[in-house]
Amino acid sequence: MNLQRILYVEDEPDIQAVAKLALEMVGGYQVIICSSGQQALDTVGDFAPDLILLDVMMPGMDGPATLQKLRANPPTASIPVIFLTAKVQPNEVAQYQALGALNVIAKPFDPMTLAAQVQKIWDQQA
Amino acid sequence: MTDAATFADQLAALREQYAQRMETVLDDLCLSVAGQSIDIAPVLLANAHANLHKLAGSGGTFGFPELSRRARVLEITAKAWLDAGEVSELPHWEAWLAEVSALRGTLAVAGLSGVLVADVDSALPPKQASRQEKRTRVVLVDDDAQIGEELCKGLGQFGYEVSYYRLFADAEAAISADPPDVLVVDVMLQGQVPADGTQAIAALFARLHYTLPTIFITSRTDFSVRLAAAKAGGDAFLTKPLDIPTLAAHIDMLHREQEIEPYRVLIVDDDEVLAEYYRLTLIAAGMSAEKVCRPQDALTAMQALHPDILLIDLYMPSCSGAQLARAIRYEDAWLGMPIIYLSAEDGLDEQIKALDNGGDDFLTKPISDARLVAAVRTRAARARKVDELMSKDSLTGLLKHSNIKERMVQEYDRAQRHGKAMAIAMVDMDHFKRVNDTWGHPMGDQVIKTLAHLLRQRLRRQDSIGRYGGEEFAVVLPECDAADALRLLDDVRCRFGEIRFIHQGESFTVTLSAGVADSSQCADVQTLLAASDAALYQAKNGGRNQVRRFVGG
Repeated sequence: MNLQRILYVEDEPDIQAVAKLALEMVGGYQVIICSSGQQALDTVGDFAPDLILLDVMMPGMDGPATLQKLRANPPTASIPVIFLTAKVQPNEVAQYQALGALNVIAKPFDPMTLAAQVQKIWDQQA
Repeated sequence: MTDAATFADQLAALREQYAQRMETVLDDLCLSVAGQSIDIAPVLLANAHANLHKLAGSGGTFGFPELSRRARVLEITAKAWLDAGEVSELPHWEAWLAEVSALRGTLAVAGLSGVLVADVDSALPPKQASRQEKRTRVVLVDDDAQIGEELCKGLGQFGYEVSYYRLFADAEAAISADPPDVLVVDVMLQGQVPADGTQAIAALFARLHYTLPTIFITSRTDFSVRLAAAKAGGDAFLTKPLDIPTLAAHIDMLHREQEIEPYRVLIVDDDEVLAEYYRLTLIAAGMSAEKVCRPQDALTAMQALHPDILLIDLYMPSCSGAQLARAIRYEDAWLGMPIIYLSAEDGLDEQIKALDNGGDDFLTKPISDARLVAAVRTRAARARKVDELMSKDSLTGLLKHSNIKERMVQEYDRAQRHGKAMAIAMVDMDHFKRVNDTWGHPMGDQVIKTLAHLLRQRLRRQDSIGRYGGEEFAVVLPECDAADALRLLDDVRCRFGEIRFIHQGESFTVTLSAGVADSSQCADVQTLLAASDAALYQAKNGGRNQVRRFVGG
């Protein structure tokens, strides 16, 4: 399956803007941004993304909690998820993968290569 | 307009917005912690931690990697305090506060308005051979011969051995034949192939199969150049007109990183064979490692080794690794010690419980040699950086007041034991207030940084230099008498007075006065300090721009 539709969940407006730009213009994906885990849960059904990018640390419902909710709901249970986090330690990647994430992208990310990073992870799981 | 150009423009605009917004964020952050004492309310500290975490995670994306890096260090410290339930010590807190307020500086990309040109007099005597450490070798490539020669002279004044090439191809031959310590490369190489210095460097490193510390210089300020430099693996990126002290500071930093003292690791594991295996693996990677097989020996070994990092087995017969970590953390001195657990356990719950008990990370056995080495190295490097942050003055990178005083006591005692003289010099800039008043505080800071740098360059490795007050420096010179100290400081005085600072087209010079005294004249370190202070006073009274030696009575 081709990667086309990405839902990006991130609470920071600056990062939202640069990620949208990078994924749309460099990667050519269709991108919708959500500012919170709750908003993502409300949006995910209609948008039906191929992939969800989830920031780990968000106020309220954080990334792992959002993932749990997604997994608990059959229509969204199998949508692949990539975490984004500012702290990536080797064992952390394994922890997030144990929770069911495809992989982890470290912040700060490089806007020039973000799309390529996402595509690479996508291709690996395909 | 092509898509790529639109993308670059939009990125630049976002970056601009980000920089503006961060000014407010950083101001608010400073306000929220400024004036707080070490018993700051946990909620305030937690809020600061959350903000620092965000900055660490976003700065690099917008072309401010330094903001990310520094915010990360501060975040880690704040986290440690939050976990410990208290701020460790007043000096640490003050250093942290100072660093937080210094974060704003990382947003100023184009650097300070002041540009310094070191005026070179080729008739100056060369450095005294006996005092000279191995000089840092720099290869410089710039297609503009005039700029190249100016940089060459300027850096020469700071004591580097600079080879300048106009053509990258010529530099390449020299680099392959005898790799220098640091490369300084212009991004635009007009008429050369490739015409882009970042590409030339990337290709060179690919051919050499190793990389060298590299600083890119350019007159372009757009974001895409920055990214190109980052992709080529550049360690620093400076925009022209170049400020020589800043360039010199970058060269020093890169060079120091190369010759870093081996990281010290202590392994605590009841499995002696495994512990020995880890020890040998780490030693093979250039670290210095020791092992103990009984947890009760850990503290004694720590006192002796002063490790940068601890590796602890989670399951040992007499106590668990987590319990040992907790016992170690009872000692204030070891609160900041990075602890990594090693264990066959891969249950997430167990690991989290172990981390709650004061460990920093978890490695699951079996672990590949490469991963063990990488995990230890990154954490040890970080621990060293935090330590440096705590003991060094943020503007000059010199020791802080309390640390230099401590060094005076140590060296005085050592000199007494060995029956040799040691000297102290107090250095103070003349009419420094006028510099600030006339040229502004950023320029004043620049002057202070320049003197700090010159002192580091001209003094010996065993000498300690501290920022004693605003524009006052203290120097501790082991195995040196007052006569030698006088000669040494007078050389610094001459050189400093010859440096021409340029601010918006106008130039000025600054002079300094110094007083020296040695331990043979003084019964204790307080008397010695007072003697060098008195000599400084005499130098000031005698008309400034001079070095005086303490004359008793």
